[in-house]
Amino acid sequence: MTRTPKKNRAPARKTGGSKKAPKKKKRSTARGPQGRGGSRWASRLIALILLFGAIGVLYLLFLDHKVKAGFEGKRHAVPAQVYGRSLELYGGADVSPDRLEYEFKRLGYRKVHHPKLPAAWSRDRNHIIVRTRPFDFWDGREPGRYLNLHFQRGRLQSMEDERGKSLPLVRLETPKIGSIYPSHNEDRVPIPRSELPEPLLAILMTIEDRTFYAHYGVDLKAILRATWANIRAGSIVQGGSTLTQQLAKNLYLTRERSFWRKATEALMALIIERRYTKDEILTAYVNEIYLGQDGNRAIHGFGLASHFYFNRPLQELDLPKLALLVGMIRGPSLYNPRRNPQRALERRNKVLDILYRQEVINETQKDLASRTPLGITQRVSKSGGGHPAFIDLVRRQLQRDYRPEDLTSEGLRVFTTLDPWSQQQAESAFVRRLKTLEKKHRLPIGKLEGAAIIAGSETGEILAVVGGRKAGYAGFNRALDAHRPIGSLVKPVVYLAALMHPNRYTLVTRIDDKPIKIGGRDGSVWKPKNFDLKAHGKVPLHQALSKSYNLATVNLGMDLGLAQVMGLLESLGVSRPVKAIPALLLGAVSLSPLEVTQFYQAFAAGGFLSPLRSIREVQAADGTRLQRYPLTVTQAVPAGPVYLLGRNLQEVVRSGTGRGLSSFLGRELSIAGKTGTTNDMRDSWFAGFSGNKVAVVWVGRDDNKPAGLTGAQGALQVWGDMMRRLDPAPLGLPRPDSVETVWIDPTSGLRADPQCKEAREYPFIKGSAPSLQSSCTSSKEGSLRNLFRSFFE
Amino acid sequence: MNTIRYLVLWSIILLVGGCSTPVQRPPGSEPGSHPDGTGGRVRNESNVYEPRGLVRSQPEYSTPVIALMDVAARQEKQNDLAAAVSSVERALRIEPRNAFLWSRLADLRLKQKQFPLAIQLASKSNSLAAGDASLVSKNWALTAKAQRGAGNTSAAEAAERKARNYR
Repeated sequence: MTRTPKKNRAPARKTGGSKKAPKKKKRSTARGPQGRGGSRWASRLIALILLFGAIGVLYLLFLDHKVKAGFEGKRHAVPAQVYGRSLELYGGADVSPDRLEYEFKRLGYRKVHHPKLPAAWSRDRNHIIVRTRPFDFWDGREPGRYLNLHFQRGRLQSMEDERGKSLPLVRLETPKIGSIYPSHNEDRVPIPRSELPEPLLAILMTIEDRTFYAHYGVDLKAILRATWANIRAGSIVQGGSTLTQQLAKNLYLTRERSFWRKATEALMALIIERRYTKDEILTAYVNEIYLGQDGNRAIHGFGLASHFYFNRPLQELDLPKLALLVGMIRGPSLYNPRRNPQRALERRNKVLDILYRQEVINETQKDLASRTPLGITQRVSKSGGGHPAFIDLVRRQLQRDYRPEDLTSEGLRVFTTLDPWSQQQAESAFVRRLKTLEKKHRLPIGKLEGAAIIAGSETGEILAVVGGRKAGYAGFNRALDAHRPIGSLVKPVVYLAALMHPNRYTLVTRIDDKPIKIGGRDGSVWKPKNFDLKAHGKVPLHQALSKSYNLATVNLGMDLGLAQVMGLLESLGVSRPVKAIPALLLGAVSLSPLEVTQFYQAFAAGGFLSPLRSIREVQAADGTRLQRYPLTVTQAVPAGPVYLLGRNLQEVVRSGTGRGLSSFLGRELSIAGKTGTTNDMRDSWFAGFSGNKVAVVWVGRDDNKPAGLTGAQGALQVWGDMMRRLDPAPLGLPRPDSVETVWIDPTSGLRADPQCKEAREYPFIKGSAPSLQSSCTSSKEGSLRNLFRSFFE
Repeated sequence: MNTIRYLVLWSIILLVGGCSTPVQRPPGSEPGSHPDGTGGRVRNESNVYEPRGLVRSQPEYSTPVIALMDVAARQEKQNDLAAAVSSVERALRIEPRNAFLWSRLADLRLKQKQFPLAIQLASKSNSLAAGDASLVSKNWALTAKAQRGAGNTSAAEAAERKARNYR
């Protein structure tokens, strides 16, 4: 232990300096402790000052960097704005006055007696007058217009401008349906300085910072005044923060109240003022200030707050509304006009009072504004935006082409295909029908779930997505992510595969609905059964599909080969790997409603596949065109067999398993569709199409327990209710050149004379109709004989 | 016994009467003129496998569609083909089964040198052309150009032959 010090001293001795050094030390102490100690302390102090100075400078540099990064970053961090489709108005358009009224509500248009300003409308039963806002579309600007609209029998009949000139076509601005903001959940609708309403700035400065244009970031007088007021009141009643300090707090700091934070805030405010102009600071403030909460989405800036509370742009707000928003800065939660309307009203009126006393407004303006109701709109959306399931789909499609940071910060304008009216109708149909089904079938309340997709049949544009029963809430998106066995929805693919071989199969070919046993590689034996547990013998092919016979389908599918069915599924846009098992023929393939919609779209469009799209165009914040997601088609299957299948699917709804649809939709619409039910009734499906829309509905339970509903009892009911509300166009299938019709005797399946009483005309791929003539001949007697034959049989 | 005799007699009368009812054609319908293309040999619902009266073989060409075609033509003249495509797509949303609109879209895609898409769009137009020979011929001529553009000479020649056949 003692060796080390000795060792240390040893070299000193060697040099001989060891004796002198202590002497020196003695001399220095002999000069007097004060003088020597003073200089030492002075040098220590200087060192300390230098050290703290250096730390201070470093800290200032750090703050400066933070300010710069934060200010620049936030200034440009604009979430992508997502818009729905624009409503096209023209004489004959399928737009009812009620539907248009709904659209106006979505757009935040006001109902008035006579519209004099943009974004206002009036209605007198079947007559609507509106002044629209201008809007920048991807392909050009649509000016604001005055429109005089006349309706008849629920449709837009004619449309004129102010001078009575008939207008061929006008598109309304697109309703905003959401934004794609970053994971820290900050959303904003930024507004440039040039578009900031002057009255807002006047109110803001009067209430929050009267010397904004004079100070350097901190207002000492205001701080002293506030401190004095707070001491007198015994609590914090006044703040002395300038707008710049508030901005610093919003941009970089937490809500913690401490001296340290206050000091940092002041320092940052000084830096901000040095770096940026007053106008830049003001603009950043207006776009950054926190004004409330929507679930987990923070409402930042006046632009977004205006949409959130009043459902209209900031530029359209009047004095009382602006006064309310400025008043809310002090306590967005305390003065939340939806939760605490009375407190918000008092706060607004106090603001109006200050404005009057500061001579910003006159007495009449004050009185008038104080008497105005708050004018808050009902919340369109719950947390996660109005249409979380659809926005989810949009986000996924965008993520293929854009980096996440581009989506959340570049202010992209995304024009989508969502039709808010269809979406709303689909959601209401779901809520209503699921409740009714639970009651009617005595199912446990609240357990049924469901999903739906509606798309344009020829365009592949997705009009609505229902991701679950509570459509307003973001969560498990069943329309995209619930992969469930599709049951009999797969059967049309099997029959289409057969009809693609016209020399072997036509609609009237007799196929075997007889028991079948199929052995698996593991020694197991699969014995499918019909729903009614019966075998129906030889049945015409079209009847096997319309009645959804399992045995006939399996016999047919096994005859064709699984590979054919699987190949066809792939051609029809099903990219998911499918297991080659015989049960595939009865729907042992799990797909999402979105994937099912894709192949039914091809059925609806005559065999032409259009990839389902939720986005039309993407534009940069400055209006530059970035990308289009165009309409594309690929012929997936020949038109002839698809036409035959389409006619067969119409039969399903006319007289087969889908006939229950007639209680929702008139038979004259000739809807085509297919029901689907899986083992133990775990999944209830319906997929179908009208003349302009294709839609798929799934109903079942999240825990995969039996839902207790067949396709016809469950999903079909929702589908019918949903489509009835959307006024679908009748389905007319254009007959391809490759198809001819031939009169057939249904009993024998042979060619018949048109005069035969029982004869029916069936479509065939040219040349594939039976050549043999049935015994029923062309004369009346023939028809009589035929009758007596069947009579005696 | 009398009652049974009457019943049998009436049954026979009714049955024979029912069987011998002549086929009724809807008034004004001529074979081949039926809008559904069923040739007008339509008797009653139960005898018709294909529902009637739903397909317009000729496009409606409504006022808004004509207006949009004008817009597209203007945009094309200004060499803004992307905007012209967008306008034709707008028209297709209004009349999705208008074969002329699909053909127009094919034409624009050909001008943009998007050959495979142009070929598919022309084929889509043909599927809706309902026997309009001049349109079908035009679509085949367009297909021929697109095939040639894509470097498929034999397919181009085959399409040219079809274009001539329909002329």
